[in-house]
Amino acid sequence: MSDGGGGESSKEIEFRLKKRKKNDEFAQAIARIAVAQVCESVGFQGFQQSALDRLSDVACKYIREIGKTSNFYANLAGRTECNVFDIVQGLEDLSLSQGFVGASDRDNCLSGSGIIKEISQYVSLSEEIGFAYSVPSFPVIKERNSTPSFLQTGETPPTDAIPPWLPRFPDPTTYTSMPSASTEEAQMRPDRIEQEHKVLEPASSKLEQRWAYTESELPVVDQGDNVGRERGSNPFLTTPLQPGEKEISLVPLPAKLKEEDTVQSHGPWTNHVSALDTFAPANQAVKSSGCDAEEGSRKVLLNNRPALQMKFRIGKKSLDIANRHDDKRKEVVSWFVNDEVGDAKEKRTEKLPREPMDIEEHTGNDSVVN
Amino acid sequence: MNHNQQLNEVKHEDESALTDFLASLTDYTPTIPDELVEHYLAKSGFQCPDVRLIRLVAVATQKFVSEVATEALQQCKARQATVVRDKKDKQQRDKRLIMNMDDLSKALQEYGVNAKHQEYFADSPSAGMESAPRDE
Repeated sequence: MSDGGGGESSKEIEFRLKKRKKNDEFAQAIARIAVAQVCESVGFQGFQQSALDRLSDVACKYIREIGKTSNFYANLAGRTECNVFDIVQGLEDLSLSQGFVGASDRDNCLSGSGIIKEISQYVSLSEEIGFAYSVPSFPVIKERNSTPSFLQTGETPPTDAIPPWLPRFPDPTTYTSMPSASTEEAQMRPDRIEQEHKVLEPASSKLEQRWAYTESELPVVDQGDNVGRERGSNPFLTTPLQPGEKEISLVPLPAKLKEEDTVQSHGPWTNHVSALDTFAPANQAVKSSGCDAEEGSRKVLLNNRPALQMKFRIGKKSLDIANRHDDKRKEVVSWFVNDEVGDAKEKRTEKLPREPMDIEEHTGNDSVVN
Repeated sequence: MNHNQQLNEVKHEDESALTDFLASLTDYTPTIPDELVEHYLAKSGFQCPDVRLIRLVAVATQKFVSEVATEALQQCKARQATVVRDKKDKQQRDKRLIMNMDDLSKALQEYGVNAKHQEYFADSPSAGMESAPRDE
């Protein structure tokens, strides 16, 4: 069957076909067997696989088409349930291309339609062939044990805003307690889908919604397990710790890291210094002050928490200055003042050159520091 | 008056024919199982608890399939007949009647179902076309 799917990409078509296959494989298989039996009674002895698939597909579509047209005629008459006349009208619509006796008659009563006569003729002439296998009624609908409502369990909802006919909340133990056997966790997942939809707590709702989306893709049908079962040890479901509840140990930086820091901090300095040859006198000052800065940074690292690491970056001069230890506050102020006073040019040539300038001033103001 | 009476009689006949036919359907077991028909009818919104109507739809579908198959069988036999004339050898004749895609697509064409395969696929729109400047 060539549908008019000109605008679809091949991937979309493949996906659609796969989806169709997944849902309907059982029905299609039965249709194939039935069609093969009918063709065998007609006289065929063998089939090409593709031809059989094609014909069974057409037969299924035919059934659906009859259903559609019959439903249409029933709705047209203001009914939802179809009766024999709706089916006859539907069949007439489908057989118009082939034609039947009395197709052109206007006032024909439906009960005397040519279609019925042809079908009754067919029934009387053809031999009755039963289906080869016994078919169970499908699709099988699994029974879901839905959670009972507040009324059914005799509970009262916690707030007035919740009407009592809604399903009740799950046991608090199912979503607050932690330590249980992890083996139960796999079984918890199916009923978690149900429970998560009903938990109203905003704190964990987002996380659980994400779960519900990911887990609804699993081919697991709701098992309607007991709500009272505890959840597995899932750290994401635990209540968050209050600040100060748990002791956090301070992490002292090992000596290696400190050196690396200073090396890193020297890196940008040297680069920028080399780029700025105009500040020739600064070069020497930088080198000489490098040792001082190193010592200073070491002091900084020893005193402050490790979060305050001295990394000198472009464009964040103010931050760096803020991070430097308090001893140099005076220089901070002085540095700022100098910058404002300085030329616009200097300001423009990246903020970096200020770093060596700072060092220069640092060395210049040795007396202040020491 | 007579005309009306005649019409009424005809109507009664038709209705009785229909009811008789539906009654006979309860005995007749169509090849297409009821569950399959119910499944596909449910998919298209058809609601009816009556078994006879389900059987009616099943019989109608069976009739349709048998008609298409008969048409394809005729095509197959016609093809074999031509083959035999060419070869003039009975042993080479394929005695088994196998349903081909070609025969089926021709049969379905009669019923308004377009089930043709592409005969060939071209690499580009101009594949196989003779270039004009070469003609002199």
